[in-house]
Amino acid sequence: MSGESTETVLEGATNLMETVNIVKRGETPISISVGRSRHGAFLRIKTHPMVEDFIRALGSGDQEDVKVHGRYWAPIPSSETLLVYNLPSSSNPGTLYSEDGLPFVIDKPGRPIIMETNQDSEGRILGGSDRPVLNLSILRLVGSSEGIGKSLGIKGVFTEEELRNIKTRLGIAARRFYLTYLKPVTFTVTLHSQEF
Amino acid sequence: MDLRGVPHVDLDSVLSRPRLRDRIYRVGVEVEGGWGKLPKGISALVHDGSVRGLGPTTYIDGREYPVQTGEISSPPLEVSQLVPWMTLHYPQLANQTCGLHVHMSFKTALTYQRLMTPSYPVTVLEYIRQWALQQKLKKDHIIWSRLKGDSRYCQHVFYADEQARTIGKDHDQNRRGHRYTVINYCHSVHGTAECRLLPMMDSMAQSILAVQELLRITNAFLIATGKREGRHVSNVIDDIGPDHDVTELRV
Repeated sequence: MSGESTETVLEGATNLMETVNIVKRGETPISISVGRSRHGAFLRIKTHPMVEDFIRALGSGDQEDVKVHGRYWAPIPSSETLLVYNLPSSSNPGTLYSEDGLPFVIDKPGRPIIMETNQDSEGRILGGSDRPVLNLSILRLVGSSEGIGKSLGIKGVFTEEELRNIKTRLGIAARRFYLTYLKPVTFTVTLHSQEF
Repeated sequence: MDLRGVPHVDLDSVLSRPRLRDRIYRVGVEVEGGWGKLPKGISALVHDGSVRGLGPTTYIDGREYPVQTGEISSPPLEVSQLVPWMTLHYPQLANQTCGLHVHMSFKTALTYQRLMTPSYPVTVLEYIRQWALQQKLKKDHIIWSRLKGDSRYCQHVFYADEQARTIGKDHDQNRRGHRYTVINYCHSVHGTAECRLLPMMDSMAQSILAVQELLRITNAFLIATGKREGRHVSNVIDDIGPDHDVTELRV
């Protein structure tokens, strides 16, 4: 081969990406707002359409009433129904870990925002490390990219300090999820020929 | 978190009002002691190993009865039912090993959460201390050691978040998040906040007054600390654009 050629391996993919939602530099792909409310915790999640597209594509696109999975979430306003995209086990990433080393999951819709790992099903305190798991399953909410996003109440009671911690953990976990699965990546491979 | 050094909330002006808005939805009481005759409707006591030194017998209307020791827990009561229930179920015998635990529930989780701050148990300690002084309780009354933090059943630490998530009931008094604190936030178990500070007092009337004072302090605290709840926001911002990975190969 003579001369240099530069080929962007994913040029076709880039063209494809231009036809779907992409997150531009400086945009906010995921925004989560938390507070305390009469329900317990109040959450609002607003995602970029690319994020909701990705979550939908993890499964078949089918939507399920969150009550099928657990009774801790309540829609706001109460007249609405909270739906989540299904997540087959083949697409479930399992327990993920954010940069701070703390675990989070997306396979527990309808469950508490923080789940204890040091208790058995009877509530007996177990030994070993106490690393509560953050529940980021709110990413699977249908309609999270529409309007102002989706609002919900999650049963549970928290100190103000704990709620701030939850807010921080949600942000770190969401960032890890975005970087791992969603952030666009372009690979360029250049072949150079050498003259002898 | 250790409660030492945490300031209490000044409730003086609120407590001086003739009436306070009652935010307590239901109250539950656990009375400990010894009974020669069990109250109507109670077939057996709940065992409590901390109750000691009562009996072996007691006299009721001139007749001698063997003493049974333990605990009776009320169902969730409207506040107006508290006095009749305590009157009917109060033990014939009580001493300094007997506790008087009070559970409070609220209509909304938000009201409950507003008590999840270290200043609440500290404020309870301060105003029960003032009440005990007004009652002229003797220097050797057990309440003073509880108010000082000398009781392992009523420790002056704050574990609200851990307690609220605990769904079981264990007897470890040392692990982080245990339930033996001035206020035990047993939300997942009972949906209540439990005050473990009070001992059984010298008389039924005084015990009733103590419980009523606790409820009054709690309502005053909610009034004095009322404020609009804030929102906390976490944004993931893509501020570096797409990743561009470059590989160069020479052939």
